[in-house]
Amino acid sequence: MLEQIKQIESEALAAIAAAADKESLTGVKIAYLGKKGGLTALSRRMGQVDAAERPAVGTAVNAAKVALEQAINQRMAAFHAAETEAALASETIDISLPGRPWPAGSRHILTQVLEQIEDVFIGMGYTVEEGPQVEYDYYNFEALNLPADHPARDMQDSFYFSDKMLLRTHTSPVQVRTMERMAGRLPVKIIAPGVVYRRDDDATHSPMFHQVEGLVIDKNVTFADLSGTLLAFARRMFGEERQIRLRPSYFPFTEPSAEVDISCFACGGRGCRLCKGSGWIEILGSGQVHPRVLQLSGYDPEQCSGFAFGMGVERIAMLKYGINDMRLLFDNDLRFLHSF
Amino acid sequence: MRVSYNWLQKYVDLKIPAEELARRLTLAGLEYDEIIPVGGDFSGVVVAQVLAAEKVAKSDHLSLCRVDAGAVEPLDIICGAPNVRPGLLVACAKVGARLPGGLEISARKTFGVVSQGMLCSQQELGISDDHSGIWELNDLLPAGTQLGQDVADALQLRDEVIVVELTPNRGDCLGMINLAREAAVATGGSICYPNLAYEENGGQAADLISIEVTDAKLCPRYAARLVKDIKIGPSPLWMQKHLLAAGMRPINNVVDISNYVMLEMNQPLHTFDYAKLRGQKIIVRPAEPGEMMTTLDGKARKFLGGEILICDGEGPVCVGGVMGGMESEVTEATTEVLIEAAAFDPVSIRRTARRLGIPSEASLRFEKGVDISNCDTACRRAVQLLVKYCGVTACVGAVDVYSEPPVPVKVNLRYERVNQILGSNFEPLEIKEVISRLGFGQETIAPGVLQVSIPSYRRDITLEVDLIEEVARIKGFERIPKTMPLNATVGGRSPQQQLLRRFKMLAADCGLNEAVNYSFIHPREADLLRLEAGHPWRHYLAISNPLSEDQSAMRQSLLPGLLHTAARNLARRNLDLRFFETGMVFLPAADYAAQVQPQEILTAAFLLAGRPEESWHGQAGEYDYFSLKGIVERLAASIGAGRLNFQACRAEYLHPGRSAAILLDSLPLGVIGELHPQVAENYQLDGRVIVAELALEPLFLAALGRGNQDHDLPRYPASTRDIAVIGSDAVAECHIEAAIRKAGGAILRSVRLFDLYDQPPIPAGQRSLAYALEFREDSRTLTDQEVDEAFAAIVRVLADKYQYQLRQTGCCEHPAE
Ligand SMILES: [Zn+2]
Repeated sequence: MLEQIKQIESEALAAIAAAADKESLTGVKIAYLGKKGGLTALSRRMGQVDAAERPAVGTAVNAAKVALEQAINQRMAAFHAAETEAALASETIDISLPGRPWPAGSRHILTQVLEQIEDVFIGMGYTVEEGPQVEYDYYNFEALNLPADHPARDMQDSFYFSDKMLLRTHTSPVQVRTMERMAGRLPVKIIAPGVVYRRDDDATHSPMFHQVEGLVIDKNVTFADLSGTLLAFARRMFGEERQIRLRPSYFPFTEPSAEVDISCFACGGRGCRLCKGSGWIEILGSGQVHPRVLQLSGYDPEQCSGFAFGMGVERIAMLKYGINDMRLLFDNDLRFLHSF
Repeated sequence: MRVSYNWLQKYVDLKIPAEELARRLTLAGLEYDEIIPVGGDFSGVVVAQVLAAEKVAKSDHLSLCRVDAGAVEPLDIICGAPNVRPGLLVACAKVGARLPGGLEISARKTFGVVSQGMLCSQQELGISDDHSGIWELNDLLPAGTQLGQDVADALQLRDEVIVVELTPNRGDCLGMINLAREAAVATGGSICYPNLAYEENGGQAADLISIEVTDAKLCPRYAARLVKDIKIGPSPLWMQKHLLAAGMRPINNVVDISNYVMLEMNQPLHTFDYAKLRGQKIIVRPAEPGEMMTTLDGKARKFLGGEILICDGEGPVCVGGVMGGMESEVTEATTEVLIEAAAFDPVSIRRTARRLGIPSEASLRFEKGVDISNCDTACRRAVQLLVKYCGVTACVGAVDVYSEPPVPVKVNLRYERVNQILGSNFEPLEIKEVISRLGFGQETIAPGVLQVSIPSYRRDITLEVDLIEEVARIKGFERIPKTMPLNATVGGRSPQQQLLRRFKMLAADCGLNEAVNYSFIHPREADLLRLEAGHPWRHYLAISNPLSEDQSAMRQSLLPGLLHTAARNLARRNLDLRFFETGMVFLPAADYAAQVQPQEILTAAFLLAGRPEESWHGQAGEYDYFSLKGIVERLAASIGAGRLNFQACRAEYLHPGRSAAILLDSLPLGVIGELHPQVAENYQLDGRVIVAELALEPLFLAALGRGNQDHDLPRYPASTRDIAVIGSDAVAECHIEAAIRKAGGAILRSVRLFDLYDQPPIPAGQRSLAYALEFREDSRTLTDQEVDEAFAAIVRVLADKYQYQLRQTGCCEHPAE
């Protein structure tokens, strides 16, 4: 009996191994494990076995059943896997085809650079202030120590609406308005980004452009603080290895006044075409707030001091992104807009 | 300002090359632009002597010359100059020489003779325009010059010009001597002033001329000196070289000396032909309105009144500080000259020069303000040069109307304040040393306080802080440390600024490209937009001095800018146009007289046109009204402003059947629609152009006002129902949706249109709308009965109010649950 069991098991295992597909495997299963299957028939003949051998035979039959079921399941799983594989293979696509286009938009490079500049100063604790573009002469000039007929007004040829109202030539009026609003309170620590206008139009000047100006007023704010602040800015904006150089200059609203150069990021300061061989590139103007400007806006220059700076966003953008013609910035050609 | 290195060398021993000097001046606040080599732009031209000159037989003007150019054998040279003669020292361009302009000299055969070079005129060497004959060098060459020596070297023709960009406060450095003071400080040298001594043998000037100034404010000083026995001729070569380097053309000795002194001392001079001054008198007075005079450029000038006029006994002879008159001009025949050195009111000069359109080197200097204490010194310098180089006879003394010499400026400087402002650690001794290097007087008047006397030429220094700047720039800005302000503050953008930033990012994420256009436009844009006569946009803020008419009107809409942007791109074959722009539009004040600030409204505009790029996935449809409406709705929702409403509206520039007003609740924000085809044509755009424009601030305020919302997930399940209704297509869809929301009550949480059908079997003039409805209650599960009742209420309202009937089950493509 035991031998018969062994024989049937090995026959069945051979049949399982030989099954070519799911159907023939099912046939094998029925042939051995079905109601009329070989193993089932064998277990029905259990009564003919000696009582003493019966437990051993029962165990053998069960073991054979388990072994066969396991083999069938394994074989069946293999058939499933192969089928799935084949189905997936028929769904193969050319993965190298381009993706479905998703319309790409863009923010203007001036917006992006403006934001970069703002973020550097926000990181240093500045708030962002804004003001009107159509300004009174008082805020644009007089309150900044530029009375009528001051020769330095020529530095900023203006667009006028009347003798009293014009398009602001810088965002400095925002500084004046902020000081008025703060009414002597300290500290003042703002940047003023915005659109400004000057009567100039050539390859390096646009009648409309963008500026960011900054103003800090507090007790004991020094020219050294201005230098340190601008060094931090230059490094954040143009790379940590930048140096800055301050040169004496003149603005009616600051004293001392300084033009600020950064070490050339194209040649590292050795001299190249970008820096015209000098190793330095001018990026902004700055200085200690003129005592008269403080007085005009209600601050006592003996009690507090401050610094101010201003830069052209177009210039920074052109330098940083290698844009050679300022007119491209206002031309809005999609090929240009998409290139950033 | 063109600074000649050789000229500067006369006052300071520079010891360093031009480039290093330029760098040091830059770091002291006198920024240089470039260094230009000037003079002697030629090679192979040597000093030579004419040994013999014979007329060439067949020619009427040519001579055959034997010329000793320092070589063993003399050269044969054909020369056409009338002044060529034996003994003359000349500039000889040998074979192989290169002249200014690139001309190369080669041996040429003329009248049977090979000419081995060329004898040069001043013009041929770029010295002056003189081409009347060859340049005679006998009186010009320094002793010890050898024949064969390079002419440019022998005559020191080569120089370098440092072009300095002066800041407006340093008008004093328009004078070489003042600039030399800076060079001396920058190089550690000392300055050597010209010697002004000369003899006066011509009688008392005061007996020969009287001067009267009627308005001391317009002319605080008027000094004059007289010279006689003038012979007009060329000025000395060194002076011509300096003038040329400075950018002025030499004319004659009187004009050149007058220009030279102006450039040297920053004091413009004017010269009158004394013989032509009627009544032997000068009167300085404001012009009468309507008064006329002919200036030396031959133009008749009419005055508004108040301009500074220099008059003789009978009438105006010069526009003071701006331009001389025809009648009193110095000419070849002049023998006696009156030299004027005056100080004029800068503002008056500035206005007059502007109005007459004749800015000059002189008016520029008067505008910046001359050193009033220096007037007569400059006058003496001119006389000294005339005596020395033109042999004139100087009259005795000056006539000098100088009503009120200015009080010397004294400024107190606190050592402590220097370091307080600069953040530096300069010692009192260092500060004192700077002041003395600048040549300013100083006196300690209290502990820690220095009283500094400011020289009259430094009119820019009036305050303590001006002196602090001097200390900083002379010590060098690099000596000041770099620190950070110690005040700790919280920085950031305002909530509205944050929203604008977010808005732009979202718009870009929707596939739109940000444009930046000028805020000023052409007034004609109103016509291109077909705006009717009384349209508010036709009442704009006008720039009174625009660069051109197309930049003369402050925009009241961003659309013209975007339409031009689209047209420009289309013309360049950029065909998929998706743009947005944000910026200010300017609404003039109601009773606008260009005196009151306009309202500046933060606005956004959008444009879709052209067609999406084709791809292998299949062609996307043309942009339409709904493409842009979807973007606008999404932007409003994404920044948290809530739902927008759209109402059909008419705008002249939009398609009458495809345009809508955009509202937030009942507040109009702007418009959206298809551009009117006529307007599209006006802007050279074809195909459908979809635009929108809306005010941003109300949108931002709504977003900021919405406050915190409940972010818990719903705890009880929702019931969903679909409803399909059919009715007239004349009813705007938004009314149907609003009616559903209202009738559904508080438990109706969401309404979404998922189908619109107006094809057969739907009868013409009707349409079917299908909505997905979601009902929910926060505190419990709704019963079927409650939902059924709400649904029935919706059906009833739609039928009663809009005659929209429920569609029969089964004829809807999306069967109801
Ligand atoms: Zn470089």
